[in-house]
Amino acid sequence: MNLVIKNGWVIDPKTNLSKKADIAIVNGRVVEISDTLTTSSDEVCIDAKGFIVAPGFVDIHVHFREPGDESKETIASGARAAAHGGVTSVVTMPNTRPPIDNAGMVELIVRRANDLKGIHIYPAGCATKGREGKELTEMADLKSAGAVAITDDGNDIESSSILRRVLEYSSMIGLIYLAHCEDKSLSDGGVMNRGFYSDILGLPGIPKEAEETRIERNIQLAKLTNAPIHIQHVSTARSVSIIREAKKQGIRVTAETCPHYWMLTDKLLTSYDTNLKVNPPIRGEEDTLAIIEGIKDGTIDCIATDHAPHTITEKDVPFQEAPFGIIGLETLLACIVTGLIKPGHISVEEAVKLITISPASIIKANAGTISKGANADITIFSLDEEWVVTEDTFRSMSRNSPFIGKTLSGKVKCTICCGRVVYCDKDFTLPENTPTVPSFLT
Amino acid sequence: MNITPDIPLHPNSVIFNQEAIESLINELTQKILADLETLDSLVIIGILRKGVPLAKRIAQRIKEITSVSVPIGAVSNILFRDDLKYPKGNIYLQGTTLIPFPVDGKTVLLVDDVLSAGRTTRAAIDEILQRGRPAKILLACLIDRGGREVPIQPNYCGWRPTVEAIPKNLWVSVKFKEIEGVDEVVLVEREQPSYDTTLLSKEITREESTINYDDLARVLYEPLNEWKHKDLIGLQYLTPSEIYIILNMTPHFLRFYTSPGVLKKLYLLSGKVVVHWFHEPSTRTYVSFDLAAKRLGADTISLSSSSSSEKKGETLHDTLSNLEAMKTDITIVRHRCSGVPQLLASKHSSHIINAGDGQHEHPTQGLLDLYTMIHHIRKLRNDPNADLKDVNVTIIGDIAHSRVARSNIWGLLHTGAKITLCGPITLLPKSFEQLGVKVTTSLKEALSNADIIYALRIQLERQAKGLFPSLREYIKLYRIDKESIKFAPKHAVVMHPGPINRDIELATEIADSERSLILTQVTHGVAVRMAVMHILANSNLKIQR
Repeated sequence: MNLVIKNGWVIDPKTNLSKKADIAIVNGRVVEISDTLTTSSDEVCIDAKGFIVAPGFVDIHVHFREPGDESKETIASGARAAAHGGVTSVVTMPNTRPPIDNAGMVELIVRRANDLKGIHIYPAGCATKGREGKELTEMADLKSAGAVAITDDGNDIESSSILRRVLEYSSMIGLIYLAHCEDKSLSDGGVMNRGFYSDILGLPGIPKEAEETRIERNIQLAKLTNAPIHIQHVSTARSVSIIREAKKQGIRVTAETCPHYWMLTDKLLTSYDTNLKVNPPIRGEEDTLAIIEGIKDGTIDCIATDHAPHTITEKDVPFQEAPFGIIGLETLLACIVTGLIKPGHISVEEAVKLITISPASIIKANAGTISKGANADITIFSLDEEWVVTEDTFRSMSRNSPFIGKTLSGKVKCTICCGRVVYCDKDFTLPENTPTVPSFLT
Repeated sequence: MNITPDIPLHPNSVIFNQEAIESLINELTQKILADLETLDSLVIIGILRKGVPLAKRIAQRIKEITSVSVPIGAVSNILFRDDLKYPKGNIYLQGTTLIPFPVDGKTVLLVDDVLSAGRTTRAAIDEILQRGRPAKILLACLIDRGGREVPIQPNYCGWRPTVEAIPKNLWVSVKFKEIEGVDEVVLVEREQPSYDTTLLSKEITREESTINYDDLARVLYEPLNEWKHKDLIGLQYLTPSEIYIILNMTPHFLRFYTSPGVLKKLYLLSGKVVVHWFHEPSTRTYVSFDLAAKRLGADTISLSSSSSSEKKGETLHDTLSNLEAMKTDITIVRHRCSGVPQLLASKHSSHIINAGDGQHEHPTQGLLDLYTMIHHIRKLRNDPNADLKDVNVTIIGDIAHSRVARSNIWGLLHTGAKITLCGPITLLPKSFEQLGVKVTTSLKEALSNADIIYALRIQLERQAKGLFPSLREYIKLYRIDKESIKFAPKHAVVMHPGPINRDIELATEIADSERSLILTQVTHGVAVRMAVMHILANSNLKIQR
């Protein structure tokens, strides 16, 4: 069955397209984009009038917890949450139990993802065995099994010489190293940003320097090895300027930030709400401004969510004892619209780029575009619709969102992956016979 | 005696004049003497307030007739009033009980001016029975106006009109020379009696005791209308006026708690259950809270973390839900993690009182410190209205890890004091400067204008974490001892939250000197905690529990 998406405003950052157009899809691929397409009776026609039609979003930093912690999230529930957030490609972090540090584990993720037939799930493998920062993983093997990147996310690699070898070797294999930058001896049991609020709340603080000094070191090692490095979850003003400076020098560095680093500040922690506990921690006002600056000037290449599910029970404990992490897939678009587009920091075209072609190119994935011949991964969204985030919003198995109760603008109306609908908003009507992935729509 | 006043019964009718009253009292006394076989065990207790002058006059008559001096006491009905839980209008305290003798085995002659509903008498009897077991209690009244609502009958009565004789809308008002300056009984329009409370307290102070009595019901209940919190989480979250609600109530509890010859219990929490839930060891705070709860008549339960089911993996929420399922009312919680009281308060219906959470707050310690400071400044300046405005308070030690310091800082900021924080830089958060607090590492500078020196306990495990080189060096730089205290003005006093590491943060010669307020702090702690528990438990919160 052929599919046509009509009357929407199509944005494709790869081809710099931004205009009202119709899209024809055959066999899961985009075959034609033109101002008006005539439709025949054997085609299903989705009306996207008044909405933006963009490439399916790409989130290169999610935790789906399978295997090991299936009560927080599974590959299936995480994929459904992604589809709900307009995300059709994700990179799953390897800090599962056991960690994804060998080809067999990568194959497990790939097979589970294939069984779902929903969205694209790209596993990242560990950089070191057991994420211990000691021995390199078999990266060629990981890659041939389907890994698109390597990382010890959650841990930095303490030893500079091991990290040096990781960068050299991964560069040879052609896998990007995703760097979690944190000096844990400086974080020292901290649970929130160190500053005025940690002082008055009596909570141990994590100095910004715990992140910044390691971004500095890790970039220097990338320079030493001439290997590419991707800096995860950038949260501070100085981190942005370190990366900006490195880029100027021609070092092969890319960087991501997450919505909570421009949407929220550490002042909110006076509530001791554990859904604000995340690592790196939510920083101060001046950092949120610098993050937005970094997004505007291209220092930050892409936006990822660091979607990190934890159960209500795990989070409903004293702040110091709660696990780090918040979910973000399903509020990604709304945070971008509310925090970046509406205030006029970036255009909708720039925003789309940050969550499509830019992250896709970091992992060299064939995703993030609606050009002719590309996978028909498409997200239809409203730029203006306001909605209230509630506990019932989520398709994730977890509810640890700091945005519950907030009114946000920007809502995903329909998500299509490989020509099949994987999410449809309740007031968005699909014609009969629309190809869908039924398990994603219930 | 059948006096029937031959004047019409209408408002302002004087139904007895001085002469008639004298004669009523004489007759009463005669009846009593005729009835009693012996005066040996007789004591007379007047019900405050008009019963007291009447009791004195009866005692005087007895002495004139028999030469026997009968002991006199005064009893208040306030603690056992049956309408305290449903305060309507103002409940006036007419002095507090002073019975300067044991009542056990005595024949108590309870005396009041007018007997009507009988509720006052019932409450007075309960108050007397709290003190012991008299052989018997007899009741004498000048006028039995009828209209009983409880089964109370006088043994001796001066005048008992027929029920119809006095219209219901009229109030029988007895005036005595000792109080109003005239002896007469008049009928007045029935309305809430309005007393000049200042006059009352002066009069009763002079006549009955040296205690400065106030209008207890008013001071204990009226401020509750202004109270908006279900829980006490920290002083950061209170307004200055809310802090003063607690501090202003404290002396009334302190008086009950410390004065000899006064009933030590106030049944403001009777029937309530107070749970002590301490996840960290505590001696003084626990004992202080427990004593406060018991003095208020509550039942108390204590859970310690070593015996609690937390060890078995039960969550905090589940433990508290289970306690509350047993209908507990107040939960006093101490926990090693900052923010636990907030975590619990948001989800549970009992009143949460923070007894120290991690490095966040210890609000009742902060309050007792504030009370002690104000008390001290008032004494020092001989000004009963002095407050902490512009008083220099220097807090010394491990500020970074101290919940006591934080509660004191918020409390002192709210009361207008000037705060200086001092300690080694590794234990001294600079960001407190944003609150308008002075932060210095120099002890000399910190003490130079201190009115109050507050030394914190230095926790020995901090040194193990490498936050300062050695106790020896800490002592050298920051100990308050007879040498370092010379940096401070002569009038400066020393406080400490306890327990003291003797000769580490505070030298013994200072801790035990006249400049130390440490034990005063501890005494005040019980009263402050009584005030806090009363305020939380008895406030008529709009927030539905």
